[in-house]
Amino acid sequence: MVRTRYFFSETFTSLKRNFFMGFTAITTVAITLFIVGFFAIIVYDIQGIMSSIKSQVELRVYLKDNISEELKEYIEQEIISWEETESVEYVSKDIALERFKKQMEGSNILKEIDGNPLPASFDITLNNPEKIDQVELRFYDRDGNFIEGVDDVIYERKVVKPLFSITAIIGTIAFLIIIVLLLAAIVLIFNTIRLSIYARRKEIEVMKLVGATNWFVRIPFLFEGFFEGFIGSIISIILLFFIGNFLLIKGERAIVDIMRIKELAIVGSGNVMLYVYVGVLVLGGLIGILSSVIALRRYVKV
Amino acid sequence: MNMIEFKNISKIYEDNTVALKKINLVIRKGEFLFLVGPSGSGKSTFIKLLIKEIDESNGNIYIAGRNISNLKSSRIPQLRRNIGCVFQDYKLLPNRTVFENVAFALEVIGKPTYEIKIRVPQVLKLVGLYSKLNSYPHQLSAGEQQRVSIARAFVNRPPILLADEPTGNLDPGTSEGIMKILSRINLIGTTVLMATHDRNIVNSMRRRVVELEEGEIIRDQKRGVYGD
Repeated sequence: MVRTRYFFSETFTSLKRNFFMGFTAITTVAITLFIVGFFAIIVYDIQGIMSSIKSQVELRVYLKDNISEELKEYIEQEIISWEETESVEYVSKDIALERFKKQMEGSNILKEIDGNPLPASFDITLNNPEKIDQVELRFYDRDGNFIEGVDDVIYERKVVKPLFSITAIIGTIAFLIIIVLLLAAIVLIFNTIRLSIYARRKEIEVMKLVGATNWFVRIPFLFEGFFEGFIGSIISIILLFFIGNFLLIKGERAIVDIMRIKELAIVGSGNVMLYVYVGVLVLGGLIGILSSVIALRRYVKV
Repeated sequence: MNMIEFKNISKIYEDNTVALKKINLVIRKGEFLFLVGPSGSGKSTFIKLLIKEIDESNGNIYIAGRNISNLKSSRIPQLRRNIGCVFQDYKLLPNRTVFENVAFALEVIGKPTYEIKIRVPQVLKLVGLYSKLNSYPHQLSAGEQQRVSIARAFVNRPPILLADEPTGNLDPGTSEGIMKILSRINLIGTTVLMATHDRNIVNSMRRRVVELEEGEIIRDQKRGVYGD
């Protein structure tokens, strides 16, 4: 137990003695992991917004004017029962005309309209917009004609397809940025810890000279690397907590109000922030130890 | 008893410089030996081989009868605990006090605290620095710093003490003080091997002198002088 005590006291006295290097390493860990964590939250929210935009894609089913009330009810119940359906809204001929008038306000077209040429429709919002093709097919019979009572089915084909590929591109770019940031963080932290070990190569030289075993030389440095990584990540978690709960949360609330999006990092129901904190903590500790291991391999073989 | 024995030791560095050529030498327990010769004659190589900082190209080295030439690297720390080392540049840690510098040598080989508290003051008394145990190296004179370095090398009571130009940076008066301490350590029974350029010291001590030139022993003399 004498040794365990030595390792602990050596770790702390050496942190005290090499305050500047230790401080630099801790600050580096704190700042880089904060940036990575911050970016992870932003990317999560962008993903949330994108997928919510995708889910707001609507399918519109125009009904024939002469459709019976029973058939209309039947089709509506049918649509509601599908698992792909998020919500369905019945737009009667009157409402359709009203909306059209609003859209076209001031235009000459309105003067030329006689009566109500607009059809009634069901506006369907899907929970998985990528299944839009399959849902569309249900309004056709075997011969490729529309089923009874349905006049036409439309959705904004041209908008939907590019939207999916844009989302995929943004997702990939965001992922790459996080990876690059993470690599930069690792290199930066590694260099700082390596520098702090390099600054103490004389100490290592003396230890080797008086017959300290390799592990005896290494362990205090490993403790120190872990400690620096750990403290650094605690600081970055505190920063993330305050930035998240006092700044980002305002933006997220605004997004919720405007777009009715549920899955956001801070205001959402998932414990996204908890995962970010744990991730930062694990990363900090691991990078600290690994940096020490690699740096020691260079300086301990005297 | 033979403390150190070199049998046909050659050392050729990677750049093909030949540092030592077929050296045969026996140093007996309790001997005080000067290793002299111009720079580049192989003195430092000699010392580095003994602590296995480098490996010989040929031959065998025996310490206390044991062949260290095929020592496993995991056994090197054990070897070094039995050989104290003193250098021209002291190799003290600037951010530790005199006491801490000496104690460091015991801490890192896992000695318990109570033993450190007894041994460090003892050895500091031996080198005459007991009153300065809380000073930092930069607060000491060059001679005092070298005495701390000797204390650190000897605190574990190794049977062998190696000194590589220990007076190289010191004036004659201070050097004399260092030699007194080394003699005292030798009197306790420690085998002392000192590489030096210092003509006056060698001539005044009248101990065994081994002279190296271009990697070969050209003189081995009991109670010798530095030479011409």
